[in-house]
Amino acid sequence: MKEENVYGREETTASLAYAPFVKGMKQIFPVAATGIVDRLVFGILARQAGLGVTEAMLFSLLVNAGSSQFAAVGLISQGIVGWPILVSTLLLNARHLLYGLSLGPTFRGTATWKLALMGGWLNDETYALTATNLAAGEKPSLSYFAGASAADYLIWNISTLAGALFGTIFTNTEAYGLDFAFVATFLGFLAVNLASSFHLKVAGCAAVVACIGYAIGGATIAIIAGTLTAVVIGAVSGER
Amino acid sequence: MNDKILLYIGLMALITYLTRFPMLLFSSRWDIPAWLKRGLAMVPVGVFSSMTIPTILFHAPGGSWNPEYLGAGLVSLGVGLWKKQIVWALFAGVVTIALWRQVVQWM
Repeated sequence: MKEENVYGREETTASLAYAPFVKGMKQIFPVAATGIVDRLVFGILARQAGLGVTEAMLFSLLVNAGSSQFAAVGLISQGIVGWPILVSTLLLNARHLLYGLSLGPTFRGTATWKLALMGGWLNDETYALTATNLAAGEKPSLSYFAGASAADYLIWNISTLAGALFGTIFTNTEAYGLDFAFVATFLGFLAVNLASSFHLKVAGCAAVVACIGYAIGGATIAIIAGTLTAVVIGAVSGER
Repeated sequence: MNDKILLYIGLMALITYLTRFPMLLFSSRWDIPAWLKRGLAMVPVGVFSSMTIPTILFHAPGGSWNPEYLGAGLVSLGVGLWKKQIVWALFAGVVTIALWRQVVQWM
């Protein structure tokens, strides 16, 4: 993690390089496409929770972080509009801290204003693609990241709009099992993140503590207690 | 209600941005202690586990415990582990619970 950015001069100019930008757009496409249904569902659920098309769109335009948007709409649908939304947003998006930590050293020589822009579009898809690309030995490229982000953002918002526009067609959501969509989505996130037996153990410990927290103080307490448990286990465990 | 929602969307956007930019900037300029990295690496697993497991274990619509979430949740998690894609877990869980409810209705 300590190597200097010894790559091309592309990052020192303000202009975007065409070739890596297009490459980023092309490569994010299959990644972003897998999320289309997820985002359609978000649009639908936002409408089910009583939000308008505008609010549903503002979520995707401004927040641009799927899981926290799902959680917020879930809370809103239960009539909770308050601090739990902010807590769940912070907890769910805390993983971006890690993405930033992971990519930062690679973009060591990059101007602050560019990193500030990059930060706006640093999400699961753009991070996963960029990290995979770097791991494959490609040189770090802001243009590549920008292209990937642009395509991802476009797909994300078009899908949300489509879901929000058609979201009122589905009236009997329970019959379609849509009330379970939130939980199923997050179980998917959990499955994808269980990368090793250690992750499994951490998830198990977090779940036990979360259940105790849930019994004492409900869902928000459960998430805070469970996540802190996971962080502490990770921090005190030795090098892996 | 409406203005309040807009306020919260704005605050969510701000919080989310603060999880994205500062660390990117910080780590591009300084090094992060290893223990903090290890702790942060466990955040996703911790969050997703805490969000889902209590929900499927204690699912009690209308006050009485119902196994439908637990059943569909296990299917969802299993398919997610098998396919390693969120969208498959979403489909599997929703389809399972929709079928489950149909069967319960017929019975």
